[in-house]
Amino acid sequence: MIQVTDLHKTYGNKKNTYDALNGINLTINDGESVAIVGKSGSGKSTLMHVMAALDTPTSGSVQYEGKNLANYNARELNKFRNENIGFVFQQFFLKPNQNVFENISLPLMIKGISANQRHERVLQVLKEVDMEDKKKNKATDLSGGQKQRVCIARALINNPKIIFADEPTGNLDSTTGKTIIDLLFKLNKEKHITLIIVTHDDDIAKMCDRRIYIQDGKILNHENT
Amino acid sequence: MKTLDIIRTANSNLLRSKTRTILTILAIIIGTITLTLTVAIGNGAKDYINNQIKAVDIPNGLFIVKKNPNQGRDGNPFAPTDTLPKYTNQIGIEVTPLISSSDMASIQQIKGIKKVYGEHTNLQTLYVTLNGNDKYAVSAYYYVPEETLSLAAGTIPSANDSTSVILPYKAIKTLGYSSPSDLIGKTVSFAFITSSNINKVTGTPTPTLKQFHVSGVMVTNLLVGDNAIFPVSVNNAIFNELDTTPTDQQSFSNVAAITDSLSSKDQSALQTTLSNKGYNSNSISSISSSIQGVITTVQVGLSLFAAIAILAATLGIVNTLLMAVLERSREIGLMKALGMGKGGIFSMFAFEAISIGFWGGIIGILLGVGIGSIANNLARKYFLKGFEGYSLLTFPISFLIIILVIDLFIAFLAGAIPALKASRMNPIDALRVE
Ligand SMILES: Nc1ncnc2c1ncn2[C@@H]1O[C@H](COP(=O)(O)OP(=O)(O)OP(=O)(O)O)[C@@H](O)[C@H]1O
Ligand SMILES: [Mg+2]
Repeated sequence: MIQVTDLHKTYGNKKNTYDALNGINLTINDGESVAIVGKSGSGKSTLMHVMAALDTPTSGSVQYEGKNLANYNARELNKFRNENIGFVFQQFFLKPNQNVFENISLPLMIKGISANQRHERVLQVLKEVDMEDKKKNKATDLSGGQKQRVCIARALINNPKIIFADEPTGNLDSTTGKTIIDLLFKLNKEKHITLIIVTHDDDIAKMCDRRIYIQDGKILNHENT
Repeated sequence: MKTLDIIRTANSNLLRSKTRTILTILAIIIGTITLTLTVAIGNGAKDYINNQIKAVDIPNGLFIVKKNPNQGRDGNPFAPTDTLPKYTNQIGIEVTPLISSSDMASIQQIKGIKKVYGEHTNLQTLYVTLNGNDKYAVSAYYYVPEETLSLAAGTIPSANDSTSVILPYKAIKTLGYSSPSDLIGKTVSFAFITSSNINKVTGTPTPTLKQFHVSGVMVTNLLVGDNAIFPVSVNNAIFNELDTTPTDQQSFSNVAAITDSLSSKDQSALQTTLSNKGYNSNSISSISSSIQGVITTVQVGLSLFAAIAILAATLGIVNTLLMAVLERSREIGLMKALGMGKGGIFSMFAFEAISIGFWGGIIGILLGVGIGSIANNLARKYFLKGFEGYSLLTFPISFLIIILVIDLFIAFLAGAIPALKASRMNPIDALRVE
């Protein structure tokens, strides 16, 4: 369970400040699928970053299973992200000089798993995203949808409890986007991975258990399906 | 992250912009070649001096001459004097005063001196001849019993052997032979003379011929030169035969003393005592160390230039890696988001730098040694002909390792700046980059 309490995030220096998050309160249960919806600049990505321990809030707290992220040191936060959170970004962020296999094994490598042990696990997730035949391809040689599937495989590699997806279909056409979304929801249903999707797309948002509408760093309303 | 994975990733990153990496390595290579060669030249010179000195070593030997009272101010031979020199019963003012029998006795009494040998430099050899007709000009070098000589062939005559000689290396060809052993056992004659055997009016010398059999041939050596080598006893005996004036017989131009095995502190105390009594003294080891000192100074100076070349090359490393950090900022952000710590990011970039330093260092050292070997061969063929046992450049493995370590260390320092920059990057800023 993720518990967000009175979250504030202020950007800028003393003279010129901007409140990107303005008191967010939110609880997300394990296995839930949640869409964060809002206009551009409303603070969706900022909220996601703070929740995913990529950024620290100016005030307020984020708690996982009752444990406040603020009490973790840098090393513990790194380990926490590595082992519990999967990321899927709009701009893929694949390493161009590496092949699919190597890109997917990155989180395992960071974790300190040896090459031999990585191998089997990578093959497993490649199967889950249906990309076994492309494992030797350079990341740059893939189509957009394939790239995003590699990213999902990379997000899955450490068996995360939560996947944060920031506009995962932003760079894809609608049909390809649909297969990616279907894949994410399949993982949510079958593996009980909590799915938090930042999106503009109402159709995607409607597929989630819950929609959270954000405006100017505040929650406008929750909407359950 | 495992160290092996860090190294692998760093190396594969280096290959991403091959041209840039190669150019950076090339700069390190050039600096390393320069450093390797300068160090090798200095070592070659030191080795040469060492070999030359080792060929005629006198353990615990000390050369003693009397100070010339007219020589410079305050005992410094080069300092000009402001008075006319004193007359010392000798013709010419540059001559070193002779060491009398009482001088010999007083030197002998100094604590630490075991034995003294006097030499008459007034005794000269005019020529050497094998068949009596062909005469070749040659000078003499007299050795003390304690002296070790490196011979090309034969044996060293015993200290009181008055009929044996060691010939210089050049005598082989001069006397019509091809190998040093050909000369051993041959009988040669030397013409000896002292100033008392020169007609005071006509200036005609009347030399005395003495027969010697060749017991050894000396290697080419800087200190002995092309001299024929006799035991010092031969010098004394023949001088006494040619010059019968008792005062002349008891006066020596220079003295070789053998001391106890002294610590360097006791040795310099002994030399101070000698100096206070009016004698200049020098040991082979002090001559050697002062020459080595000069070479080391030159070597360090040259190496500094080479080090500047390496330093300039490391700026290339800084530049290359700073560019890499900028280019890969999204990747750095991603890795941090996926849980890579500051240390891991730092090590990755630091290792890229070390890798550049390593390859630049290894290739530079190998090329340096290669160029040096070619230079050695050329030198041996042309301008170092006859300098046996001399390599223009020598490459002790310990020095090569030190050079590599210097390369790695400097490369690491250069890499630390970009590596630190990368490790401090904020993942979110990096991920927001469009
Ligand atoms: N580092 C920063 N410094 C200053 N302002 C920032 C910074 N990062 C984000 N902001 C501002 O915070 C606000 C929220 O940004 P955020 O990226 O969360 O919006 P978003 O809802 O994700 O928008 P989009 O849908 O366009 O991705 C924006 O107005 C943005 O300009
Ligand atoms: Mg956003």
